[in-house]
Amino acid sequence: MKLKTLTAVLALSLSAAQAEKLTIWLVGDNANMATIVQPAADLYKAKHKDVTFEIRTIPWSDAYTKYLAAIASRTGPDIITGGLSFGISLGEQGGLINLSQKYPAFAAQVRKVAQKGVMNSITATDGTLYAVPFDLTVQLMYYRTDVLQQAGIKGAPKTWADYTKAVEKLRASGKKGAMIQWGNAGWLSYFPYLYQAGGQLYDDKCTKAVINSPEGVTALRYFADFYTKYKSPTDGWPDLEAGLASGDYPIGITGNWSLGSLPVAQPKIDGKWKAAKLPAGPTGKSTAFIGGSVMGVMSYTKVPDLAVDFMKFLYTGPAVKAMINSANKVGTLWIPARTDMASQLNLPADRKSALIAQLKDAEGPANCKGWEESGDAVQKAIQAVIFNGTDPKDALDAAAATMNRNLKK
Amino acid sequence: MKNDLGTQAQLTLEVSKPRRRSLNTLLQHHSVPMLMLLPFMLLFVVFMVYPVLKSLYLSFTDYNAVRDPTFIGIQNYREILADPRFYKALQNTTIYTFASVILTNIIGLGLAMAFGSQRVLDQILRGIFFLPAVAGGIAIATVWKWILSSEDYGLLNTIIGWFGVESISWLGTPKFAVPVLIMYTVWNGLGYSMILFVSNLRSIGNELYEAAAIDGASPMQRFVAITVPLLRPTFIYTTVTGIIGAFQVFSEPYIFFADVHNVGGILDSGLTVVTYLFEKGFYRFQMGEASAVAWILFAICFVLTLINLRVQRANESVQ
Repeated sequence: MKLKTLTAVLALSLSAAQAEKLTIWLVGDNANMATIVQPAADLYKAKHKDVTFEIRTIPWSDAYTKYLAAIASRTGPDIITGGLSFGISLGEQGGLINLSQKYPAFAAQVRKVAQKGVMNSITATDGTLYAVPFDLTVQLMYYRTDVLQQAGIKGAPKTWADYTKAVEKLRASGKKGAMIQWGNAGWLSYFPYLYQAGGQLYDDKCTKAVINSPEGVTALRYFADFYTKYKSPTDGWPDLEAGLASGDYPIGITGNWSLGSLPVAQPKIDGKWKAAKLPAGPTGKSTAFIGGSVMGVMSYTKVPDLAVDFMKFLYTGPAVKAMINSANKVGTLWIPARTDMASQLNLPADRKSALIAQLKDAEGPANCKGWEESGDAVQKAIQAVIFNGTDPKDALDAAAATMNRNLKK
Repeated sequence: MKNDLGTQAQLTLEVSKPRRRSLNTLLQHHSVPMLMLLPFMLLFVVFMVYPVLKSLYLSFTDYNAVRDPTFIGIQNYREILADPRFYKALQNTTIYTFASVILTNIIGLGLAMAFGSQRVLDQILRGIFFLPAVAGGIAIATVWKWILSSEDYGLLNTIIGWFGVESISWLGTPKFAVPVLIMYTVWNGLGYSMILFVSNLRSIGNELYEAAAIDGASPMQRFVAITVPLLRPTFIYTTVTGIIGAFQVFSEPYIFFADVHNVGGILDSGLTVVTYLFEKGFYRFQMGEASAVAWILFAICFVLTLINLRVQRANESVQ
């Protein structure tokens, strides 16, 4: 009997020694993020019985500080998710494992399937990849079909000219016009126009800022008109969904989240609104800003192989599907980094096709050195044009000078 | 001599004996209170003294919270003092501080004089005016964000709309940023200053007013010659604490104007010294520079408080 007990205790302690635990901190402003990932973790656990998970959601506002604290104390999560800039920023400080160096096969696999614009943003200028995309957030145009029709506008505006013509018609019919929500009156909302006009923030090799190119100036002139000529609201975060619901702002641009939240928040306009990709600029491109979050492995983790294996699993079809379904259950739209899986999203066909089309033409923030510090200068240039009437070329020259200074730091 | 020396030694002994005794007595009599104070003292040293001294050290370092800090002398201070955004933040904060402190004092005193009696209605009104001070904070600032919304669902725009005035973008127009902050702070703080003035007003004896009235002093003369000088302690208190508090304002400008990329709002029109500090520390992770901003802020508050106390003392000596 004694021998049996001893054997059982020994077996238990051996299995405890073999058990591995993955602690995951997911950035998000509600507890849903942990709920979304949990079914994927359960699927993984079904095949790896000895692995246990601790999954926690960290608010956006605290995330970077908490991650820094974890790195400094070398305790905390094994895997984190965070903003697109977190990968390079934490990685260069030694906080994240260099995936392209330590796990090149995984990095190569991700490069093949993940959204290209986001991959450009999160890959350091020397090609290093510290984190891989976890999910995506992209800009879309939303419009009220009935109100546009009443104002004599046929369908969604397809070009810059169509868009301004639509805004003019709407204003003439007594409506307030168009609204921009995400990054309103700042660099983020100017970003798509810059790319649609054929401009960029920096040249391809990050050697100098090119925001002050003729294309950049054209984009800024067009963009500033929304505020100076068409009186778009300038609040930090205007309520686009309420504007659509009241019909005061029958057209506007914001992130894909409204695809999920509009049906819940504004059921009375169900069937009266649609989403479309952004109107094309002079180049014919409808480029939108794409954001989202990345996922990386902390440099101090004791289970790096397990962490990367789980991240690899999160890129598989069953895991992506499980997370999409889980998000649906909590009323959230979760877009996987694998754009080929976007067809799995639970959306009406027209909204899904608009989203998929936009995902194909979207760029993320610059990966060039000093962009984080330069964003303010670009923001200031744009706002100087809108609010102080500064000449767009002068304003962008000033921004480019700051960007170039920060490139050299 | 021997005798003298002996006497001197005895004297020294006698003088020192009671001292030793008093120290022992002190320890014996106060050991329990000292022990009870110990947890506070420990917490004070660990969570107040140490972080303050550490931030002073960090202000002279290049530190990003991950790598070890590197000593760089006064470079952080130089960079901050050469940054136009710092001066924009300082300008906004200075205007905000002086306007909000002066208005809070004036309106608080006015309310105290109007509703300072013991009548039930006055007590209820005092309670209403004091409510914002109790319920203040992030939740109330968030409610104000809705009140000030530029759209038709914004309460303020709805009200001015009744009078045919077009909607105003209160939070989206640079020239309104600091006035909006001042208005919110005055609304939030006048109940508190009102209560302080009410208690001080009650301490002023009626006989002074009666004597002045008999001497033919008008109500305004009585106010200027009796009320204002005797309210000086409250004025000093509300001004000094108001200035320090206003220079440290953070949550309101952050809630009203910050977004995911910028803390100061349009053209930094709502940037304050502490939101600038926060941006340095927690958006850019330049902890050394953020610590330097904190010490510059400390120096400003310290100097302003000294000036304030000197001016008050000078006024006292003149009178």
